[in-house]
Amino acid sequence: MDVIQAAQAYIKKMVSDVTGMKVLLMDQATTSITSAVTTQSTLLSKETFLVDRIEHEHRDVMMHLKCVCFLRPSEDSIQRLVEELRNPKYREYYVYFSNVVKKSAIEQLAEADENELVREVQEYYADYLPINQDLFSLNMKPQAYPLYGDDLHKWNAAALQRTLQGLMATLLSLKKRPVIRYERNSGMAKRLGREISTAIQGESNLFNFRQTDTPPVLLLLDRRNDPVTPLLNQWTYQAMVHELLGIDNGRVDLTSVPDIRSDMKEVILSVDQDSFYHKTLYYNFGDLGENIKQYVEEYQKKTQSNMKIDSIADMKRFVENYPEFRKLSGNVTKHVTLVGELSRLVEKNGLLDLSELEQSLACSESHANDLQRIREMLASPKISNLGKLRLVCLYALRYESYPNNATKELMQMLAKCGVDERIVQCVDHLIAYAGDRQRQGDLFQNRDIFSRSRHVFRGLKGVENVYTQHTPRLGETLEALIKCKLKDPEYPFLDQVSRDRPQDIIVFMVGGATYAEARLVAQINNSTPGVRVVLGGTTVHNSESFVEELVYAFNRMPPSLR
Amino acid sequence: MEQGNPALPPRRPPQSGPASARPVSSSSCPFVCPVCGAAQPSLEQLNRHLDTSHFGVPNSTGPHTSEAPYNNDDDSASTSSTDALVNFFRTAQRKLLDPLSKLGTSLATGSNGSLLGDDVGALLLDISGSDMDTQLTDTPEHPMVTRVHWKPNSPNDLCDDPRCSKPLNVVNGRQHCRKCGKIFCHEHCQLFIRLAFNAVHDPVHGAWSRVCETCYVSRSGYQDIQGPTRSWTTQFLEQRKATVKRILLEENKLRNRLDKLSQLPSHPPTTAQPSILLGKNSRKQVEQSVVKWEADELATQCHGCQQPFTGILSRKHHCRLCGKVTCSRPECSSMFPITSKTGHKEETVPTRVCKRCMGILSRRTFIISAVRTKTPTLTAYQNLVRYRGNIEKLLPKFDQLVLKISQETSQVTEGHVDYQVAAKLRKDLLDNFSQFDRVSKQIPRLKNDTQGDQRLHAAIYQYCTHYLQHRMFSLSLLPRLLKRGQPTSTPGSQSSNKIPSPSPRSNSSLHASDITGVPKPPSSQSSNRPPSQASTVENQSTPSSTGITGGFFGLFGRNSPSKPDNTTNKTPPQLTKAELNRQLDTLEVLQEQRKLVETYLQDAIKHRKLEDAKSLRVSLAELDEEITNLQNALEPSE
Repeated sequence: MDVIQAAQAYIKKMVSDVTGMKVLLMDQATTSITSAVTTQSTLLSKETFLVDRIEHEHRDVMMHLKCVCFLRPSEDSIQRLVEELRNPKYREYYVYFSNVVKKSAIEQLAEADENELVREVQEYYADYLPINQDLFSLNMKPQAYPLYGDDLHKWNAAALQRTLQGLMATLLSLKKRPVIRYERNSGMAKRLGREISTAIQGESNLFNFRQTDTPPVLLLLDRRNDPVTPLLNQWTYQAMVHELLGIDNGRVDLTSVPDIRSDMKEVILSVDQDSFYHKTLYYNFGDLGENIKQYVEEYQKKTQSNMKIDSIADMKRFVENYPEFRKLSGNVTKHVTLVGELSRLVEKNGLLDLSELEQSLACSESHANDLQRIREMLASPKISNLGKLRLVCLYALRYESYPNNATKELMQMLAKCGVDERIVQCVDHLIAYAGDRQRQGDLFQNRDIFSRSRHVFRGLKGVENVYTQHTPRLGETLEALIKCKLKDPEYPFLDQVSRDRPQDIIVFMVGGATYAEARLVAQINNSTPGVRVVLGGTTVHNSESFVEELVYAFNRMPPSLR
Repeated sequence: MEQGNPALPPRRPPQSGPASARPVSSSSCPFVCPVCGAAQPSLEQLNRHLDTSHFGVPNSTGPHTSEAPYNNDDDSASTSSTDALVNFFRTAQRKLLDPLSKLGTSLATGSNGSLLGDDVGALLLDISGSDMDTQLTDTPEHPMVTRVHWKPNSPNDLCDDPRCSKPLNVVNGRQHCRKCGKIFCHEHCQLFIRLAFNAVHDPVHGAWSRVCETCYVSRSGYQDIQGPTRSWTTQFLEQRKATVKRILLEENKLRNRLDKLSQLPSHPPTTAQPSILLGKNSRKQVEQSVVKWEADELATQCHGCQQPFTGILSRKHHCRLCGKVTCSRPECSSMFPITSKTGHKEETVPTRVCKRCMGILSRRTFIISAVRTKTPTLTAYQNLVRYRGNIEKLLPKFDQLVLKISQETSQVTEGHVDYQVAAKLRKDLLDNFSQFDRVSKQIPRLKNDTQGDQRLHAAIYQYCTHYLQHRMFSLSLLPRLLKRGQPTSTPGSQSSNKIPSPSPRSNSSLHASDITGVPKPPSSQSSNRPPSQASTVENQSTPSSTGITGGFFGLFGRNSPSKPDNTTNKTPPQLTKAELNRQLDTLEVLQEQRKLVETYLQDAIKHRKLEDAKSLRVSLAELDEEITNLQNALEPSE
């Protein structure tokens, strides 16, 4: 149950099965997948000397090369492959599709391959973007794949198709034929579950895996049931980088950082290739500072030993180690730059105060106090507009059914701060999307007297860290699922029912997961022996992308629904 | 736990601890074991006896071999084996009270054994603590998983988990892994998998059983990372046969037409008076007899590029083979020379043929050329592959031998058989490596007209560099091994050992040639060398030097056939040939290094990595100094 390894295994297999000088030809989708799990040097060690995109039409003809094509079987890629086969540029073609391919596409290719150059046509199911060992994303941006169809409970057909394909590839590559559970209130989760179930039955000989002790569980959740998590500031490394700088396809764009060095304008964060990142991924900001200090010291020690060159032997060692040393130095610079920029942003945007208030809104109820502080924050010039918007969103969600609700007033204040009118509207959208009546479960634990008292009781235990009080709702859900206590009425089974304690769980979040949830899943994986959880989502959200998706969805809706 | 276990074992009368488990003489008891005939004081005792001694063979008649290890457990079970007690509860419930289990459920819910004695209660908690165990008792049709393989209990057991090794007692718990039979503390044996009767993993029909982490994780398929694949190749090839058949038919048709065209007269006699226009037209007319031309009026766009015909610049042309209309761009149609006869003389007539027909006609030659063309890159790469194959074949053998020699170091001398073989292998390997290196260096110099070829050559070169770096590691081990074993070797070869060595590693300064039998005369020069120089030579043959590709083969220069030994003439009387060679090699390496460091330095300066640059400068200065030293040493000899 390691999505990185699963995808890696496929790519390794395709480049090692084809021996000799070769070029790896990919499309846009597979390029991002491949670059997430492998490096140039790994490919090079398998005699893959060139890597190119099938979209590039003016590639040189190189008849001495074999060609490994790794493509998503989309209409566009198939068409391009057909063109490629009509005007071949390489000696032999080995075609690997990243997902289930239609028979008609095979016919189309066979029709085009007049020169008999294709040697192999296979399906290798690596059609998702692995991020951590236990986190994958389908990387669906609202511009390319708007999620919602006619209303907020229906899929857009293209998005559903893509989600279905991505999830099928995940299940196949992890070799799981799961029982499916979904959140009852979510029409989209149910629809997706139905589609998957049908697809699995349709491909039953593909899904013919070895029996497991208990069937794995595919849990389909809906973002709308926890709109709070993506709206909070996070304080762990990976989540912070995504929240403040944004991670896109494993890349972080640092061009906006003042005085940035030219080679640091874009840095790559990869769990697989960067051991420091792998170690500190889930560290909170304080621990991270400690660790980066150690890392720099370690580096300095190495520099010292490099500086101390007394003999030829020392010098030799220096020359040998230099490339590695340079790599280390690059990595140290990268992390120091990142952490430096994070702390600059924390300082500049007053994120500590902001986060404290956010956590208070997310975790406890004290209307007058909260409202007072939100007003102060909205007036403060230090807080960014996005931060202000987040506060109002959180307030609107928390005190939605509160008698003295002041959401309207706060929205007006937002507009006065210079926030775009359309974006201020987003607060209303959010209530329409994930308000109290839309949600399932008691997110704020304030629906009835019992949950209120339980909440108060829990509050008595005290708070360890005021900035990290909130835990995503996914935590409770998973805990219940692992203990076999997840209630059937709220999380019904689709088709098959299993009462056994699950050992392998795949959680998929319709509407996007977050890095906070990824951290939670990693914690569960560490602390619960015998249980393996993998988290996936249509995308991985930070507050900005979450708001953006919402605004985008509502602007596409017919006016009656806005 | 608070859920209430539907089949929690109903309470049995409180037992007063270990005391009641003493064996009682047969005279005073009415209960006799049906299996082995041993007398038991009470029904409970008999039950326990059955569970511990005759476990797994319920209702079997006569003694059974499998129970042997447990025959004497009666006594020890009550004193040390918590498991026996656990089993007792489990089986007592299963055997005696199963019919009552429904009733028992209501009684047992929430009681959690609190009525029992403290220690027993704790054990009972242990059972009810896991839903899985109770599932086992829920389904009495499952045979019990065998316990024959269990590690026997002893009072001082430690947890068998390598990371734990806590003492096993009431606090830490004591659990047998049902699969491997080892004993663990509770923490390291809390996972459940389905086991069949013979303690083999059976995911479908097995009974839920407690196992350790190792057994849990080592279930087949649990850590499988290679996902499934599906091949369409057969279907594809099947489909392609149809395509090829169609293409062949078409090709035949086109060839026929081509033949016909070539038999047409190039300047057919005209019926009326000849004119410039008609002369051309007449050829056109006869050409149309081969294939019917598409009407100009109907053709609105080119069949090749799909561009509409507009204006005077894009004229309509007919392909003489298929009759379709194309434009004149070279991407869509071209002039194909056809030999045509006019009367007696042959003449070449350029004839317009569209791209598609051209492709079909040249298809066969294309396929052949695709398979057969040998570009210089391909040839070079094939050479590389050949040398790599040799290396791949020899290297494991060599590694094995080196390992063997290293294990018996003290006995191995130059004359040893293994050593001879290893030295031979090493020489072969070196030959192959140097060939490989030679070819790899040729590749960047190959003709590269296109950008693609440039990139390709650079990538291949990089690949070769990496390859050499990784594979040449063990080569240097051999001479080092020899030297370690040398104190026991012949006095003659010891002489070289007397060189004052700055570090113990300097012994590996032996060269390939030394091993391959070239006698190395003891020279005064060598012992006079400054220590730092000796260490340089040492480093030359260490694996680490593979990091530098440039100077790499300086080290093995004498083994490389590509480098003729032309230094012989220069050998002055006082310097032996070997010595001089060595020093020259050293010089060469140093110079290569200097170049390398220089590029690093420039790089560092360019990227404003001042710290790096500083240390690089220091090393550059050192190198320069060394080079001058060496040159001075060599100069008088020249």
